[in-house]
Amino acid sequence: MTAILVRKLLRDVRPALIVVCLVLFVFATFWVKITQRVTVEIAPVFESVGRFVGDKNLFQDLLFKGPGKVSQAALGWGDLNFERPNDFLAMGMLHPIVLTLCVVWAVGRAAGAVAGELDRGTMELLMSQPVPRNRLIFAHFLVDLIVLPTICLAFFAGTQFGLAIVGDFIPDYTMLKSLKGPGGRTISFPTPENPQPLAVSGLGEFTGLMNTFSMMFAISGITMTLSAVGRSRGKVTGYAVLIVVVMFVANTIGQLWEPAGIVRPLTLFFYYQPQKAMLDGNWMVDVGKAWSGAPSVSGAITLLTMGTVGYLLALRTFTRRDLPAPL
Amino acid sequence: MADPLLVAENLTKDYGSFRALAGLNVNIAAGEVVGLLGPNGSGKSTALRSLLGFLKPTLGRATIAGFDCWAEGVEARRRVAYLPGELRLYETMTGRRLVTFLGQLRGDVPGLEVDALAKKLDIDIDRPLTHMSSGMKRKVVLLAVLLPKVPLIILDEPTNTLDPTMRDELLEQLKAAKARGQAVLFSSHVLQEVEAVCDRVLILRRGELVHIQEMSELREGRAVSARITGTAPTSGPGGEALPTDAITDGRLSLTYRGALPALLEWLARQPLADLKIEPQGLTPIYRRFHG
Repeated sequence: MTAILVRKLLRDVRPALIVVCLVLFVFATFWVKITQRVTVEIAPVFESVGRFVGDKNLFQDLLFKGPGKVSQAALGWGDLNFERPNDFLAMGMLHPIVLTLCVVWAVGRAAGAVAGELDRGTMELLMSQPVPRNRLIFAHFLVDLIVLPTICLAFFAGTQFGLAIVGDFIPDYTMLKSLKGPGGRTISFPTPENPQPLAVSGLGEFTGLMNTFSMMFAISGITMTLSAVGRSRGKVTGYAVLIVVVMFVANTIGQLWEPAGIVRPLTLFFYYQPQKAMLDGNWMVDVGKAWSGAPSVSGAITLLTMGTVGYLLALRTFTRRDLPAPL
Repeated sequence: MADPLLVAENLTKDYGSFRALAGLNVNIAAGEVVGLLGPNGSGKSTALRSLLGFLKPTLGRATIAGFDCWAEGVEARRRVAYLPGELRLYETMTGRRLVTFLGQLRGDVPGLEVDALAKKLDIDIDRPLTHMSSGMKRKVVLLAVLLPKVPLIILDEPTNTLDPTMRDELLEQLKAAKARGQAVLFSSHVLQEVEAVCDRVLILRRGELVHIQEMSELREGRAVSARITGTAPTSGPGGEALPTDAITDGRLSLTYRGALPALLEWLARQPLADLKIEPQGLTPIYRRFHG
């Protein structure tokens, strides 16, 4: 019976899943191209000009002052260096488009799981069959375990496809040669004579995307709890988005303003650090930064736990509640 | 009555301080067709939803084939096929896919009988549901309800949106279900169709079961209405004293259960200006509670 439900639920999400996977695939492919442009054509120029004036990090420091620092903090780019292709690739997993798509998918699907069925009135037909209520929640759990990794793999495949088609990342200093000083004087910027390709590998992204999967699963679990209580998909979506946005804002404020940092471990975005997993293979999140003395925890496991607790609460609620007539 | 298939004992459902269903006590035996009557808000749907395990009773319990409808809902529903009053379907499916999906959830894979019944109900079940009218959709779900030969069929206003021909076909199907030994419980607003197929009728008012009518009693009865021009009779066709309210303002109204010749002979002796004899229907009984 679970297999029948899972097949039906997968058929239901198939069109939207194809669209989301395609969008992420295309985004990831473009992100590789953007990474190449930035790390090969822009960053080397900034670096050479910086070296020329005696400060290698001049432009990077300038960029991340003021609003740049805010966006860097908000998006979790704290330790990333956009001169390194792998670092810039990692930013793709933190890009607003990716985050928004992940949140919309996780919230939308979970909100439709129970509240949506009640809202549409199809729950009545389904539950009049000899289907245990816990099987329905379990089927949704299994669908998450199939669909969320598929979404992550689409992103990963997009990156690999992009890396395969854009070629080597060889720094290009051509632009510097055309730069003229006052009076049309030629400036001799310090550039390497035979630039070597920059090291780039998207394989680490697979590790980072496990964190992305965990984040989506956590959001799905939280929304599933609300869905199991509610009867209107719209309301459940609204509350879930509100919770996610509040967490995002709280985490960002906590990053920018130290006294507010104490709230960060209460938000799921504190544990979403795919760039660390991708670049350093480091899964641990230092909770001690916000709560002194607290031990480090695995970000992915914490997020998976949040999602699982959400599903368990949904299971408990849904098996005990009345199923009201369609609105 | 044989062992009851469905038993409701003091089945009560409150929504906050509002009592939607108040202490429903009823038994339904295998092969019995029972109608549930009452206006909107009388508790019909609450009763049906409680029997299906959608609602947790505030008090009391209901069982189907001995299985508690709430605590053992899956086993109870295994023995029930249900047609919802308000149909909302998976619109992306075709009729056939929906019937197959619902059948698979019961552990059945519907076979050739699907096409035979679809032909009888005059539906093209290979069309997407989204392209079907509400009547066609109802027929698709009716098909899914009639296919599994479960002990109990529960129908919530089943003839809504059906054309007269299909309404007759449905009533025939219900009679066939009864002949197979299946029990049927259905709610309706249409008294004629309830009269046509039911063995028993339950009338609900504001959540309370206010009347149980055996239809066999009703079918034996005749409603007599006449205008009397002379001396009013004091005794009825069987020699019994007439009730005090049988004659009002020169109009005789009585319900007669007995042999027709005796009634006609008695009427022939009365000073009548006009006369109407008709089978006793549910209407006067229903009006007594929902006038």
